Amino acid sequence: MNYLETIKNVLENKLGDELLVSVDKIEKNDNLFNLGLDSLNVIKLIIGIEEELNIKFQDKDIDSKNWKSIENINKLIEERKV
Amino acid sequence: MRMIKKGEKLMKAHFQIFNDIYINCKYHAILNMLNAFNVDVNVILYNYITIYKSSPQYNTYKPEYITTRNLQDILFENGILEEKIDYTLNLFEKIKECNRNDCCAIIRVDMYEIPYHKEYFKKKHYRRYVLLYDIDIEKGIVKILDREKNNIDSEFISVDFKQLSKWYNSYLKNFYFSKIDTDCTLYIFKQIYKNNSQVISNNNEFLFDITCYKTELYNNIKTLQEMYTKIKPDSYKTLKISLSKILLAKQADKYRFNKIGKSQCEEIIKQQMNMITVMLYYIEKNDMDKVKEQLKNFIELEEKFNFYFIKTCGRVK
Repeated sequence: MNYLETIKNVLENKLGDELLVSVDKIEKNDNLFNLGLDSLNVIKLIIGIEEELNIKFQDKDIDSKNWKSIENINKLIEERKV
Repeated sequence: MRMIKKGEKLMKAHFQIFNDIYINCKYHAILNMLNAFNVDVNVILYNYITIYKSSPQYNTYKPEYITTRNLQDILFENGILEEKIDYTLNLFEKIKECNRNDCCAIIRVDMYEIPYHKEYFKKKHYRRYVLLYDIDIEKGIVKILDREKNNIDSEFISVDFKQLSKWYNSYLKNFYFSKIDTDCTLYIFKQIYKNNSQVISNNNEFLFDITCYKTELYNNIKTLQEMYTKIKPDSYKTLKISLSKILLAKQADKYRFNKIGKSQCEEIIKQQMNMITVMLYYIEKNDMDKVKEQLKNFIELEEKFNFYFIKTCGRVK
C-alpha cells in the first residue's frame, strides 16, 4: 500500500510552516533534512503519522535515516502496518 | 607569517558562510568572522570541550563550550586581534571606525526589535549575537550575517543602520543596563597578520591535551546523572529544553569527530543523537519512564564516549 499522500498531508499539517518549500513540491526521494526537517521537529511528523494511521513506531524506528525522505517513511510505515 | 600592510583590504566582501554546524549564535558569529578573514575555523573547533551545566533558576541543563585556552589568545595566535567593548552609546562611530580599519564586529542585539525573527519580534526580549562584516557608509547600510529560526543556513542580510542601532540599543536597555547580562556588547576583530603555515588544517587533531580535562569530562557524567534523578512526571517542558540544547552540542561534536576521523567517537555520538530524538518522542507522549530508560542508556554512552575521546584523542607524552 502507498502512504505517500498521508505522509504529505501530515507534513503539510504539522510542519507546513517550518519547511522551506511547499509540500507539493517535495519529491519522494528529496532529503527532508535539507528542507527544514530536523532532529527536533521530526517528532511532530512521527507522532502525526502515528495518529493518522493508528500505528505505533518502535524506538529503533526513530532513527533519522528512516525519516530522511518520503520514500523512506513510506517503507517504514509498510513494515509497521504488516 | 605575513604582516598586514596599512590600508590593505583583507576581509572578504562576500565569504563562504560556515553553515556546517550551528552550536549557538555566538559561536556561529565567531566561526564566520574567521571565515571572513580566511582563517581556518578549526582553530576554534579543535580548541574547546563541551561541558554540561545546570541552570537551577530554570531547572534546565545546557551545554557550555569552554575553550581550552583563552579565546583572545587563540585568535591572536592566528593573527586576529580582538577588542572587547563593554558598551557604546555611539554605535555608528564605532562601526565607521571598523570600516576604516577593515575590521568586523560581533554585536549583541535584542530579537524583540528584529522583524525577521518573527517568534520574538515585539513579543519577547531575547539575546542574540550577529556578525557585522561590511558597511556602506554612503547608503547607510550595514551587512550582517544572521539566521532566521526556520532557515537552515545563515544568510547575508543588509540592514539599515538605524535599524541595527535600534536592535543594539534595545539590548543595552533590556539586558546590559538592567544588569541581566553585563558581558561586553561589542567585539571588534582586526587581522594583524596572516598565518600562511596552515598548521591547523593539516593537523586534524585536537590542539590541546585532552587528558588534562578528564575531571571536566567526568563531571559531565555527574551532571547527567543529576538530570536523571531530577526527572519528575511534570518536568517534560524543562527536559525538552535541556535535551534540545544537548542535541545541538552533539551535532557539533559529530561534525568535529567526523573531520578528525575518529570514527568510534562519531559512532557513539550518532547513537546518542538518536537517543535524544527517542527521548523527545516519549516526552511528547508524556511517558517519563521511557525517557528515564533512554537517559540511562545515554549516560552509559557518555561514559563510553569519554573513554574513547581520551583514548583516541589524548596525547601520549
